[in-house]
Amino acid sequence: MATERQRTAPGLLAALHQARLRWGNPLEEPALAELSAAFALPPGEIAATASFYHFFQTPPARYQIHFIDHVVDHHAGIEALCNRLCAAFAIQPGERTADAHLFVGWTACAGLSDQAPAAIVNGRPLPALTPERIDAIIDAIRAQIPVAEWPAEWFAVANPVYRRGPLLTWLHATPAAAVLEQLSAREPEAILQAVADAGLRGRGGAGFPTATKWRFCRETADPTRYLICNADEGEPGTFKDRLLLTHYPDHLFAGMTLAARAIGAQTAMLYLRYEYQYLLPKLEAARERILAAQSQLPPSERITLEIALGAGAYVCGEESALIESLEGKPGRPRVRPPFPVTSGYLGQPTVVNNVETLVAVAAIVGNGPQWWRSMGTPDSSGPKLFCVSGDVARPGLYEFPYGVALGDLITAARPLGTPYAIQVSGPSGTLLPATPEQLARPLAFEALPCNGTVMVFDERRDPVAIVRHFARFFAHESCGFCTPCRVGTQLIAKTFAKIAAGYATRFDLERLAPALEAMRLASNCGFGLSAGNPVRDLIAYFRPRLDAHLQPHDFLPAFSLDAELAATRRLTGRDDTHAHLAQFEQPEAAR
Amino acid sequence: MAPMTSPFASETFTLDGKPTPFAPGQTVLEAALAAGHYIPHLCWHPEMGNHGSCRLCVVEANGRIHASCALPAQPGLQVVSKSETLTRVRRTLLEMLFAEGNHFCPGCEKSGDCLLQALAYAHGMTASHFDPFYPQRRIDASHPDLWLDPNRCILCGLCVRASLAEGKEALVIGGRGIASRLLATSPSGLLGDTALAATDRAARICPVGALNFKEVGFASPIGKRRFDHRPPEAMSDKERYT
Ligand SMILES: Cc1cc2nc3c(=O)[nH]c(=O)nc-3n(C[C@H](O)[C@H](O)[C@H](O)COP(=O)(O)O)c2cc1C
Ligand code: SF4
Ligand code: SF4
Ligand code: FES
Repeated sequence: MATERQRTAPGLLAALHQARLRWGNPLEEPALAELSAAFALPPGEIAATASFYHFFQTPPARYQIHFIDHVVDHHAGIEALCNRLCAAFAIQPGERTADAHLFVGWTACAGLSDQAPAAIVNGRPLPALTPERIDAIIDAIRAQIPVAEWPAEWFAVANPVYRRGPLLTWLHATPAAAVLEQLSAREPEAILQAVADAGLRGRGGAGFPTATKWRFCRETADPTRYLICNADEGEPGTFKDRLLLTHYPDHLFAGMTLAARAIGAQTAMLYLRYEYQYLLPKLEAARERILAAQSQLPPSERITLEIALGAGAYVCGEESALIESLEGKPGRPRVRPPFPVTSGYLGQPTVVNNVETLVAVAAIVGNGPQWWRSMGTPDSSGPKLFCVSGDVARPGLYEFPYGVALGDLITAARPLGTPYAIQVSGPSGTLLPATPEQLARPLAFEALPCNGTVMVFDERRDPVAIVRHFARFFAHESCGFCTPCRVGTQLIAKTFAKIAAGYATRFDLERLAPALEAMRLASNCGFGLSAGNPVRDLIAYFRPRLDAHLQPHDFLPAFSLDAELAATRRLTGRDDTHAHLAQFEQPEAAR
Repeated sequence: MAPMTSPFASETFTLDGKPTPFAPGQTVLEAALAAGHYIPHLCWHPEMGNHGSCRLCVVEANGRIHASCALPAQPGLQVVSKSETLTRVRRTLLEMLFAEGNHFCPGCEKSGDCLLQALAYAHGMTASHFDPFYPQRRIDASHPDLWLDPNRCILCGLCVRASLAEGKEALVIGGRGIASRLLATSPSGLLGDTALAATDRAARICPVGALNFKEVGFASPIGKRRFDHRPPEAMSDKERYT
């Protein structure tokens, strides 16, 4: 049976990054020919992979600037900043200057919501932008100062922590090597038992019991196994893994080593999202240290540690898409079964765990399962890192035990105004009204599940506009493999664009219902299954706000009369009032 | 290891209330079709196996929705393949495919011979509720015997899998999201520069009017086309698939 979609080519993403540095565009003919020869793949398969990832699409330019297209950044004024930069060089977002020096575009949340508005230049973060900073950037580009010579403070990503608990305290106090030196750290069964006794559940979103996943993998007959750390952290509003990767990479690699031992894997790989590539030197140094810490062991007991870099695709955070990406393919989630624990990377048994989960493994082995179990709730044990952003005075990281009330977490972050809507677990989570009942709900897998992400919106914000941003995000990030998600995310985005333009009716909303149903029931992966959640919640909790945007008519044309004239306006070079049409009035009346 | 059950006892699962036998390794869709029980599908093919992209084959198994082409049959599994909800979801999926591409059936030489069109009829789809996207992807007529209209491609991957299976890898699906598209794997990106031959399995497998033969359009008159009198459900494997 020919169920393969494309041949595997491990290392292809890294080679494409190299090709981009060398040729500017990895799809230039010489680059394509070279990669095709190196990987023994037809050029089209290289192109298929390259055309999937956002950052391989950027046209070659000396300065490649991507502004963050995330709702929190929009509320912080990112659009005006983007326009300010574009205007200085007379281009539009998505365009390159005529001299090919500068490209300006948009990209999805880059894990910087605590220092919005932000951008990325040549893969490096530009946090906490201001109009003054934009002006300085304009000057730097005009003066042709290389990005490497821009002031270091422009790139300084802060990692504000406003509440420390036992986990961060332990991490701060305990060297990672000390954990690996413990006797129990060498016993696969002891590691697995400690993690089981601690009741650890995955911190990446789904909350699957970590020890159970490990056991499935460990019990497979195939002795070649892989442990993968998911550092793709792409859920908009999430930045908890960034802190761990920045400050505790040794503990992470120690946790990966322990997990690999527990499942009998020989290799542990870290898949890092492209937007975090600035952390590579730190991560590389930590990897070397933890490798060195194993040097006393017999070679058969050493775990190989590797780091791989993504290229801009939110869906690669889904574990099977991540595996496809590591295999050099487009990051399309696999059809399951088989599941990664039996057939994952290169068809071998594989465990994928989140960064925070693996750091927790190090903490549990280092400090004992009872310590972990004593925190949180019976079904959601242990401490948890929460990232709060949006309309709060202290956007940043908060360590609380699982079970903390949503409202207590928000209060700790000092809301600026009266909270109105709360997004829990990012766009694919839940959009809730900030009512006393909702704020009283405990954050825990058995109550209000939360991957750690909370975005606060106060009365100034329109929930319809928030959902429109999320709709655009999902439409941009769908992998496109399965019908309901590929088409459904477009239908939602188009409907919300129509609502924003002011010519949508109740009928448009009703038409969306079967699409939402098909996405929720028939999608191939968690992306499509949850991409309709924001619309679902908007209808459930904010219906009057939504209705206020809808026209009372039964039906209005699906297109904007005025937009249809755009091509003609361009061809005739006209933009006067007579070259425009209103949607509701007769053009005569408008004159 | 001793088998748990006697090798002679045929294992069964329940499909729409009926005990249905299956062979080890069979999926619910395969076992259902072998038992003469039709479940709608587009991207599964008897020669190529499953792909999992069209999602038309969704069923409810033990209370959860699965793609039956990927779901292994297991003893005791309770499968519902026909329900109001499932029919509605399938019709929505078909409407989505129609809205996404340019499926102007009256002008298409595959009309009457097209699995997408036939299934749409079978699901009572009279019009799409969704506004059409009107894609404008470039038609590839570079091949001497074949031509590709990517605006009719439903990304079922059948031609891709067939070509990979015959060792040519002439086609692949690239891009992301709504920009996903069928690519020829040649350096020029043109079909004519691949090794794809008109005699290849990959050239004859397209279930819709995307990958077509040149100079043979509208060969069968209306009334004599494959799906003119019977829906896919009432056909044998041999008749149903291209
Ligand atoms: C669309 C989508 C995106 C995801 N993104 C991430 C991510 O960025 N990081 C992550 O750890 N898990 C992510 N997940 C969950 C992973 O599939 C997987 O469940 C997780 O990495 C397992 O680790 P854990 O058990 O330690 O939580 C995502 C899932 C989906 C469906
Ligand atoms: S649900 Fe969306 S992201 Fe997941 S496989 Fe389908 S198209 Fe891809
Ligand atoms: S060209 Fe035809 S066979 Fe190939 S993917 Fe498209 S619809 Fe399927
Ligand atoms: S036949 Fe199962 S998804 Fe297409």
